[in-house]
Amino acid sequence: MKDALKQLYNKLILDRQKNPVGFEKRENAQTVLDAYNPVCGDQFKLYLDFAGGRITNATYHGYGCALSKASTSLLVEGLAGKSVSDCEEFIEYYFRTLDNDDEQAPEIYKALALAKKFPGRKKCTTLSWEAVSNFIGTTHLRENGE
Amino acid sequence: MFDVNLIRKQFPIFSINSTSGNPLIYLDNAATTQKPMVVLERLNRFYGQQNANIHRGIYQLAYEATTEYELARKKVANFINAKDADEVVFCGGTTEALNMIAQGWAREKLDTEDEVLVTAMEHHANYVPWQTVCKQTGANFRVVPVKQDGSLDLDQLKNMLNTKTKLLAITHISNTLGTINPLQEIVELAHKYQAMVVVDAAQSIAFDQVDVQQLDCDFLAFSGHKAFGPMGIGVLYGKTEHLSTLHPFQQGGSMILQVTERQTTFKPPPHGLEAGTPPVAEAIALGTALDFITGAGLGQIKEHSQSTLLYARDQLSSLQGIQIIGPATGTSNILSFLLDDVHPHDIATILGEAGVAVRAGHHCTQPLMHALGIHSTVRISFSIYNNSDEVDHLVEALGTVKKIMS
Ligand SMILES: Cc1ncc(COP(=O)(O)O)c(C=O)c1O
Repeated sequence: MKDALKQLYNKLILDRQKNPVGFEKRENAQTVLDAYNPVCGDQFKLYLDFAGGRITNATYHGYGCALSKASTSLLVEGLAGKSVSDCEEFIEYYFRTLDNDDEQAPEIYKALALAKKFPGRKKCTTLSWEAVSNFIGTTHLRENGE
Repeated sequence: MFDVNLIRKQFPIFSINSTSGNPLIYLDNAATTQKPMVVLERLNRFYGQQNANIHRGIYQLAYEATTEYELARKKVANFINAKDADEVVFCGGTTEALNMIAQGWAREKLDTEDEVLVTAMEHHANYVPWQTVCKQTGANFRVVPVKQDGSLDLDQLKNMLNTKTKLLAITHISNTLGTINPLQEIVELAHKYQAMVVVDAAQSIAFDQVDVQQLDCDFLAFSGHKAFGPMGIGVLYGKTEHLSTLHPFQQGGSMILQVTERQTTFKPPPHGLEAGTPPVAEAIALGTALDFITGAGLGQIKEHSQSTLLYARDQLSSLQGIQIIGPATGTSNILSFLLDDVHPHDIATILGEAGVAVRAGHHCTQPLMHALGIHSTVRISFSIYNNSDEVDHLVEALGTVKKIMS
């Protein structure tokens, strides 16, 4: 299990949580989403801008553990520039790798997938992703934008 | 002579290994304590040999079950030095007891002119029900602040108490910081204004003497599971004159005198406040748990938990990057800390892998977290069975945290 711990808290994740890509407060963004886990108090704001059916800018800010911070950073980095349907695919792919231990997946995804082996930690890796997924699923972005 | 190893042997959970293969190091006693064999055996014996519903059957088994249940009530009354066993109402736990007071007493008594005081260090169970009942009645919900050292701001409390104060709800010991509130003094202050005092004794019941007559509190609540007893059983204590005006917010079987199409009359307390089939085995086993505490010696439990905590505080302080939150007034069995800028959940995961069970998060005290300007902490809490080896193990595992997370 010590090994699993090392794999989970590996350099990719730790570097990313220390110097997170996209960690920027933008209160005037078009859409501000809340990603909140009442169990542990982790709370991020996700700042998204849209134009022409695409996410033109995505950043986040807030408080969370290494796993939630790194996974949210991955999320916003990946969202930027994508069309709404590409975003959906991107998020689905991420959820699939977390569940299925895909050997082909990027190293950092594989590391995050290990979170499920630790009690109560899977949610840390999905919190922000679920917030965006729910938002995309319930808005009319597609009709308006594409 | 007190021997922690003899105590540990009475708790079956310590003879099994944790998932990591190491023996369990359980430092989360503020969440719930482990159960001694006598309590487990008592549950088993009730269900195996004495099981019958109470207060209804006219046969020997039912009579015995009822007698044992009422004996447990007497044990609780003795333990908290209530004047009368009828001042002890069995319920599901601290949360239920506090909600019973809020909805059964405060909701009928409060109006828009009144004020309710809680403190910023309350568990949500002693905060939200008061906030809600104030919304329902229009009464003013006021929060007594805590100082940055984690102690209650007594000067502010004095300023906030006034003739409009109907009720003060306050915890004996903070479940997050371990702060011990000077309850005796606080109850006297509140009573000068005829304010009712509701005490949350969830954290003190198995740590320090709780004497309701000496404290002179009006209501008091605790959970059995934090005092070596089963989950699902708790106690609402109230002075007779207050319990008799407490409206039963659950109604149904057992608690009535007479039911007709036009109206129903209720039994007097405590039975009028215990609707339906109560957790009989759990109540009886709570009695056994209190016997266990008395047998081990409440003073001994306190002394041992305190000295373990002081040792832990010392050892932790030698780690670079440790920030102890508080330090609270008085020495209890609870301590919260942060390490470097590592998130408490990451710490708890790594400690968990080393077989050390701690709590991380806001501990159901979000207003306190806001007041202290933090999001969460790592909390350790000791009981009679913990020892200094476990503390050493914790400190070693925190070294691993630093190594992994740096
Ligand atoms: C101070 C305090 N009050 C109330 C509670 C709620 O107790 P229960 O969940 O047993 O109702 C707790 C338990 O976490 C507590 O520590």
